[in-house]
Amino acid sequence: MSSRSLNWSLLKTSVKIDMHYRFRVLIWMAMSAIWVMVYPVVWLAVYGDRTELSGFSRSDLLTYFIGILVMEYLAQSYVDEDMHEEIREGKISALLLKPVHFVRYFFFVHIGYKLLPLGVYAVLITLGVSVLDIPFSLPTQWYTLPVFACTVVIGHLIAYNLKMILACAAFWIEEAEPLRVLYWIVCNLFMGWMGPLVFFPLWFQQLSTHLPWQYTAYFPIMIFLENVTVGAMTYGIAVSVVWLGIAVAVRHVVVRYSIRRYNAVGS
Amino acid sequence: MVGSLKRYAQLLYLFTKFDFYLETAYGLNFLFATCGKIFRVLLVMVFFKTLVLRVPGIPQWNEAQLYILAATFYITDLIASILFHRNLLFHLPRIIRDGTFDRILTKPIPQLFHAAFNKIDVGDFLAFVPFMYFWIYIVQHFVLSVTFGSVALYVLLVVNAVVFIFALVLLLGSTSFWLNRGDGFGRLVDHATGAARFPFDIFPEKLKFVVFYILPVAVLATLPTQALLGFAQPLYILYSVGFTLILLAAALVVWNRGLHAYQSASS
Repeated sequence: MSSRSLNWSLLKTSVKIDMHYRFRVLIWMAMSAIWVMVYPVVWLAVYGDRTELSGFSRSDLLTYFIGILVMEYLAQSYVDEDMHEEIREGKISALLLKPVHFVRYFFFVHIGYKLLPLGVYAVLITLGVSVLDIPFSLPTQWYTLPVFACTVVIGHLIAYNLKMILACAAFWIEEAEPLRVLYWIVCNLFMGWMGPLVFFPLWFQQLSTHLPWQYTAYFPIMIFLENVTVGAMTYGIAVSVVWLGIAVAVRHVVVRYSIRRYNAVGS
Repeated sequence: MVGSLKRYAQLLYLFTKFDFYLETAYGLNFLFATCGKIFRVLLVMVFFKTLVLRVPGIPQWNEAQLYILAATFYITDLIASILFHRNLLFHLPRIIRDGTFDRILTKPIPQLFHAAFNKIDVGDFLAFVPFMYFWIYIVQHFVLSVTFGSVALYVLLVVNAVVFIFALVLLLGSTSFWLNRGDGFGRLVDHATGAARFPFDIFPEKLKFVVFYILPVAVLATLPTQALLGFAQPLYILYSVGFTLILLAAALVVWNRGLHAYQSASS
């Protein structure tokens, strides 16, 4: 089987699994949607009679939270959830025997898991904007969408590699779940889940610029909203590429050393 | 009566001690779990602090009131989390599914007590540290005009909120006697109740009606806070207590029917 058809098979299999457990997929989507509904309501109450807050119009704010909801599927990765159990129970032994490295295997399987929710979101957002008249800011510059697409890809690769490093913790410690929860909290804080980072204190904004998480959601959305200058965009892309390089290099080393100490305890 | 209360207290003590040994057996995990819980509380504090940096408050809620609201949400959330939340919502569906619920049935302890309190989450006790700091901060920095009556009513409504969560999670957990993967819907409702940390008065009218009357999650934090600050409506207090009692009765009926329907799947 060629490399391309192998990737395609992995994608197809995950889509089929999603279609089979569609109720579970809808539950997960609804869980994300609840928070993305609550935060804008709180922030819109903060607006009061104002038309904008820190450069964000009401329409921008709603677009931002719709963006966060979509980016959770588009750019974020949840590989650590699956791998944690596979390693703990020794099931990853089967994966290690397959003619595909598990890093690549999980990458395509998880891309496949995103397709169904993204399709549902695309329909819901189109309906919401066209039928319910929900304010939605669309980009006006020709270069915005291609740059946005690039940052989404870079963001996803950063998120995937960081999560793979996190997943490898299960090779070293018995119960990695608390570490995953801790990471999730920090990640959500810096990726802009609670609100646009420009609403936060300056020191927090400066700190988040130097950390990888904002490039997995916040930065691409700001580009989509055309809320960054060309200079800031170039700087952001450069920093995200550096973080991608660091994440890939660390992931490579961590995966190599983690497999060496694997003793297939559950097999 | 006193004898059986003493027995239950002894059982709770034993469950706590056992869970403490279990959790601290993996020191690093215990540390991560505790940090995660403390971070969750800090996250909301950061969110409200950020919010009041932008504006003095949101309609009907000033800074101090927002903090009291968040602190109230966390006291109910922590009590539920330490005592029964995970047991009923996540652990119970799992043991029913794999048939290990049999063990609970064979022990000389009331089944509901055992199922609800068999794992006391010791790690959550440490989350009381930032929570206490939160209250100290509120008392030191704001002038609160509270009376003995309002504090008493507040305590009563916090108890009502804990009973409300207990009834809700018992009802959801009990559905696992019939549903194969009943925990999915439970997770969804769990997420919805998490939104109670925000003031529901600011929600749009239709949504407000839902959270105040249909699934009155407003009883978790908004109502006790309003009672402490002296602007709760007496009729709504009666409604919330009545709703909680009906929900508890319904949950107990479903639990008892579930016990009869249990077929010990894996045995």
